[in-house]
Amino acid sequence: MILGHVTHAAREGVHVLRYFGTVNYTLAPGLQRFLTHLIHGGSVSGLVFDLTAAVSLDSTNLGLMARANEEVHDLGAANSVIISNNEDIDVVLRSMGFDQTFDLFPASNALAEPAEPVAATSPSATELHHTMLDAHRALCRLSEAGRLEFEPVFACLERDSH
Amino acid sequence: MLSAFEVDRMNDDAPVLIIDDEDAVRGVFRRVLERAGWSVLEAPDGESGLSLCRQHAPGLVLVDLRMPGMGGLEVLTRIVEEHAETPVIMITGQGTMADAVEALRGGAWDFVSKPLPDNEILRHAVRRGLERSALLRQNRIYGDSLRATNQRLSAALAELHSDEQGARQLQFQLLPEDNLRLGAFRCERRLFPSQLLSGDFLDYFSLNDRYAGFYLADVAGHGAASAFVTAILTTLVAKYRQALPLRGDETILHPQQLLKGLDADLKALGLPKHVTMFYAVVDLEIGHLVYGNAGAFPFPFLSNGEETVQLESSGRPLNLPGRAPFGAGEATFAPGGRLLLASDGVLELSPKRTHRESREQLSHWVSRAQSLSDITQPLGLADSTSLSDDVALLFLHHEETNS
Repeated sequence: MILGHVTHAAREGVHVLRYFGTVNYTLAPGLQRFLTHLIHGGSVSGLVFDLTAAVSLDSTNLGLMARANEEVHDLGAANSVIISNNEDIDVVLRSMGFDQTFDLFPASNALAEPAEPVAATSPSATELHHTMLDAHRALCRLSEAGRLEFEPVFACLERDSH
Repeated sequence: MLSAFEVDRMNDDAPVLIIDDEDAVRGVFRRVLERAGWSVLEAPDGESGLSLCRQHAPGLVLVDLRMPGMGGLEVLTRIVEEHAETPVIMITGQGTMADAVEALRGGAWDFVSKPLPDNEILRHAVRRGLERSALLRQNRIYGDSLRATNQRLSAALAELHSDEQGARQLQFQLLPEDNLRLGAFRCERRLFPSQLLSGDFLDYFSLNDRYAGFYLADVAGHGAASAFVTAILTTLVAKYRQALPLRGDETILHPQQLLKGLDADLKALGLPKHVTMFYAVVDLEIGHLVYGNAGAFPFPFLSNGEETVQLESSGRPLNLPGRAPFGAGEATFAPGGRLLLASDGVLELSPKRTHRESREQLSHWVSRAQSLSDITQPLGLADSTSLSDDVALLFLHHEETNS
C-alpha cells in the first residue's frame, strides 16, 4: 500500500493539491488545517484536486473536499476542479453528487491542450476553468522538468506556523 | 517516587562501613576515605558490623576476609541476604587470591588488599562500587515506576475497553430484530464494526398497516465518535416515525423529505461528520419502493427474478454543504424479489478486486440469495473478521405468498 500523502503548489491564485496513495482519515486533520489556512488567507481563485495518483480516498477526505469547494465557491471562486482517472474513485464522487458541484475531468483531457472550450455556465466561468486547467498543466510540466517541487502539505503547514 | 538525582544524592550521603578487626587498618582506610569526602563508620567484628549495617544502611561495606569470630565470608553472605543492593568490597591479605575469588563468587563486588599498595586503589574501588550500586537502584526505581505506570495504563485501558463494550452492546440493542417479518417482507441484518463500535447503522420498521421504512447509514470516520452520530440519527429518525401517528406528519413516508429533514437536524446540531444514507419506503401491499439517497454507495442491489439491478441514485450526503440535491427513485419490488443494502466497507473486503468487480460479484450473489448468509459466507464475513472499514448489510426478501 502506498502511504497516503498530499502535496501542494500554486500559480496565480490557482492552488493544486495532488493526492497520492491511500488517503484516509489520519491525514484529514492536517489537511483541514491547511485548507482553512489557505482559503482564509484570501488568495485562492481556484482549487484543483488532482487525484490521478490516489489509490483511494475515504469518506472523511471526500467530506473535506466538499467543504473546501463550498467555501471557495461562497468566496466567489469557480467550482473546484477534480482530475481523476480512477474509476473506483469517479463512481464514488458521482454517487455523492460531486459532478454537480465540482468540475470533474479525466486526466487525459485535463493534461492535453483543450481543443474546445470547457463547458461552463458562463463566459467568465469558462475563462476561470481555462485558467485553472492551464495552471495545473503548467505546474505538472514544471514538476516533471524538476524545476518545481510540489511541497508536502505538512511541510507547508510547519513552515507557515513558524 | 524518587528522581534519579535524588537517588544519587541518597547514595552519596550514605556512609561507608569498614568491618576489620585491626584498628590500624580501619584507621588508614578511614583517613583515605574521609579525605575523599565520604563519611565512615567502623566495626571491629562481624556481629557489630552487621548491626551497624541494619541501623545506618551504608552505601558500601568493606569487610575483612579473615577476622576472629564471624569470618568475612559469613559477614558477606549475611549482607547479601539482608541488603542485596549494598555493594561489598572484601579486604584481603597479600597473596590470598583463592580467598578473594571465593568472596567474589559469594557476591562481593570487588576486593582490595592490605596493606594498601596505593590509596587510589581503595578510592577507585569504593567510587566504582557506589556508582554501580546507584545505577542498580536507579534501574530498580525506574523499573518499579514503569511497572506502576503500566498497571495504571492497563487499568485505564481495561476501563475504556469495558466502556466501549458497554457502548457496543447499546449500539447492537438499537439494531432492529434480525429476521423480522414486515408483511410479506423478511428483513435480515448484519453489522460488522472495524473497531468495537460502528460508524455504520441500519434499521427497518413498520410505519402503518401499509408501509414499512428501512435505511442504511454510514457516518464518516470510524469508532466511538461516529457511533455516537449513528445513535443521534436513530433518535432523529424515531422523531419522524412518531410524528406520523401523533401529528399526521407524513415526512417519514417520503424519502426525499426525510433526508431533507435529517440534513437540517444534523446541521442544526453542528456535528462535524457527514452521513451517507439510503432510505426507502416500501408499499407492503403492492411491493412498490420509493427511495431517497444521500450519497450512499454502493447503490442497493435489487433482484426481481434472475436479473439484478442497482438502484442508481446520486446525491449529496447529509450534513455536508453543497448545492447537489438528494438522489431519488422508485422501483418495483415484486414477490420473490431480494434487495441488498450494503455500506461501502463491503467493497474493501477483496483488495485484489476493483470496486466494479466487487459490485458485479455482489450482484451475482444477490440474484441467488435466499438469505443474508448466502452473501456473508462467500464474502468471508464473520464476527471475528478483522476489517479496515465497518460493514453493514441489510437484506429484504419479498416472500411469495400462497394466498
